[in-house]
Amino acid sequence: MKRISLVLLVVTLLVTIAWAGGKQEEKGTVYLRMYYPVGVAGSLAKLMDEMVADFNKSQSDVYVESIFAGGYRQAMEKAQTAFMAGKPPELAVLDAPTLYTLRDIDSIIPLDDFIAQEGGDAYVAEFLSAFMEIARADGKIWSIPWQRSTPIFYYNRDFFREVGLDPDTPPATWAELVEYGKKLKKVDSSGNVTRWGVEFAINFWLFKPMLLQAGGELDNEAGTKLSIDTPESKEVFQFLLDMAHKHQIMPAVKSWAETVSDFIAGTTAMLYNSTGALTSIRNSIKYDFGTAYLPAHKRQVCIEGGGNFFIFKTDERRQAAAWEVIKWMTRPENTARWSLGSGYIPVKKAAFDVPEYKKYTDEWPQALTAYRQLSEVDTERNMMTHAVNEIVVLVDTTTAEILGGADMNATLKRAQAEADKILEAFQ
Amino acid sequence: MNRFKAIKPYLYLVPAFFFLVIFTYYPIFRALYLSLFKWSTSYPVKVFTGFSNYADIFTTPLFWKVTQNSLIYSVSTIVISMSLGLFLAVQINKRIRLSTVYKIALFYPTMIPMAAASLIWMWMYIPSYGLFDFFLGKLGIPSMNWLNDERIALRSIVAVGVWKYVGYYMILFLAGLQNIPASMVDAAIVEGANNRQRFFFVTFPMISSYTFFIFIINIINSLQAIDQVYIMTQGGPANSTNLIVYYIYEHAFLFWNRGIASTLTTILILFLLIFISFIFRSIGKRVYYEVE
Repeated sequence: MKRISLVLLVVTLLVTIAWAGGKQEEKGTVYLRMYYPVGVAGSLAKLMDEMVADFNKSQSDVYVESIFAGGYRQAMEKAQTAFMAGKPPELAVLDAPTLYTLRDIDSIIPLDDFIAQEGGDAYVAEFLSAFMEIARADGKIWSIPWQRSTPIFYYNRDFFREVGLDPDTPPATWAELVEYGKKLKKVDSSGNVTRWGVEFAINFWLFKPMLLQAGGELDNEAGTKLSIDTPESKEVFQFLLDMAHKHQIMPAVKSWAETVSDFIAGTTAMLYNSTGALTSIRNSIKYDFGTAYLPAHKRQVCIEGGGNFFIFKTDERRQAAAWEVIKWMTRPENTARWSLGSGYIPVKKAAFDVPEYKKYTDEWPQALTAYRQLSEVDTERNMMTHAVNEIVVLVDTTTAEILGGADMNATLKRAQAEADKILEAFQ
Repeated sequence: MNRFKAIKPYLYLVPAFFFLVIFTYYPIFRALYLSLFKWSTSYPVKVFTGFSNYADIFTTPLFWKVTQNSLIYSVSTIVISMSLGLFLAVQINKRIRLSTVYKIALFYPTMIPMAAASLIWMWMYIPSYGLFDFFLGKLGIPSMNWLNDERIALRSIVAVGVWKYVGYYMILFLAGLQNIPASMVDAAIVEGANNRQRFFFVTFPMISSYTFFIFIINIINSLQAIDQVYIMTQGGPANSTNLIVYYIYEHAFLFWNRGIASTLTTILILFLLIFISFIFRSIGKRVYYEVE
């Protein structure tokens, strides 16, 4: 009896393994794995899985398994690790500035040949040009825009009305931001803050536009230099410190996700965050809120951001299949669908004329704030350097240290030395 | 046939030995080997550099900060969880009614995966409207920035570490307490020892083998802490919760600096080896094991 059950167990095991293995590559169907991150608030994993399922249903040549990979940092970790282990995902959505690092480890392929098949420059012209700059290196195009955004300014219109501010006039300058913040901040009887004027998360993506607005620069075009110890840098940090300690309208240190849930909960009246959180905020918040361009300073400028599709080096068949996925996902109706469900900006010009999208933006013009900011305001490229993971950690840690109370000059000096050391091999 | 009988014991050991070599010894020696190379995105082909990685690390202020954080974390979790575990075990040992309820209630955190627990704790720690600040607010205490304030973030992480394992240590201590021969306790009472004297001169020495075991396990657990850090703070804010294993993880899988990651691993292994053998030789000698 014991022997029979043992044999049965082994046979079942073998059959299961064979069946599971076989499932992956049915005759003719190319099986792809796609890693994707969700870097903003919202049930975007669900939307992504639904869209991928629709792609799979629409044809039978390619089958994509969409694999949620956490935030941008975790997705990059996962993709790098898989590549280093010799089994890269065929396709991945990764933060666009990871381009130089992905090329440094020789993990991705240029997309010019595929683009040529679709019509070359004419195809590229279908995309919003502001999103293509970060995909270019060495005269080639390496990624295709997918979930693209700009930082935008969110504000609670109910609170504005409550303190006597015009709900249709958000702050347009840094000075106005402080002024409004002071009015909006609420303190209870024992002196504890129940509502902050504004919240600004520790994140290089929010730091860079402030730096640009102060007239400074952060990374160079080639991604080989990071300038963090500059007078403009100090101006930005001093401004943030003043908002936290002098005017006391902002908590000094907050994480990205917390600031969004605080805005939804009403413990902050104004917020700097991505347009990608727009739909989630709209669905969760009980207040009347508005969106606006980032308050300006010496310059009115913002940056683009978000994730692009990258095709990893595998074999010709799978690379071509991955390109089919990208083409389908970036069709005007699909990028419009993604934008509707998330708040990200559609990546193709034609998407704005898709009927559902037109209806959505006619009913709710707020949805177009990020796109209008992209077009009407000077928009620069996201921060992109070599050794992108180390540099991102460095900038975020430096910001956290200074806002946490460390001496600004000493910290910036150290950070600059560290950045130079990290990038020294790439000069 | 005799020959076979002689080798048989060794054959049984082969599978276990196989796994030991592949998953323990080989990685240790490979880490030692790779620590002598520069191998990262700046050096895609590994370059032999001798001990320069070590020199590099020992002159990096962040390494010392991480070491300090890890030591604070370890000492705090060990002291708090062991004394709390022992205290709870002693209390539960006295009361037999409802002891099962207490045992289950205190032990269940051990069964929850640390990653899942960290997510829940993260929500509880949210300022203003997270569970803790919500109740503190009702008592009139201002909301604390549990995970974002450099000065208290590490303590918040310690709290999670203690909560996770205190039940486990308590159960172990309980087993130890229940193994103390009743005759010894009675003899002490007869001799006129009060509660405190009974505890320090009879109870505590008799459970010393359990205490020693828990101490070693605790050291290992606390120095391996990474789940809470990865999920709740990612080493922040400003590296105040950057613990050694997280630091190694960052270098290995985020920065892909395999040379430095191997060096850090080797340093950690050597430290643990020396420290644990020192513990065994000093305190270990004074542990009481039951004599038949």
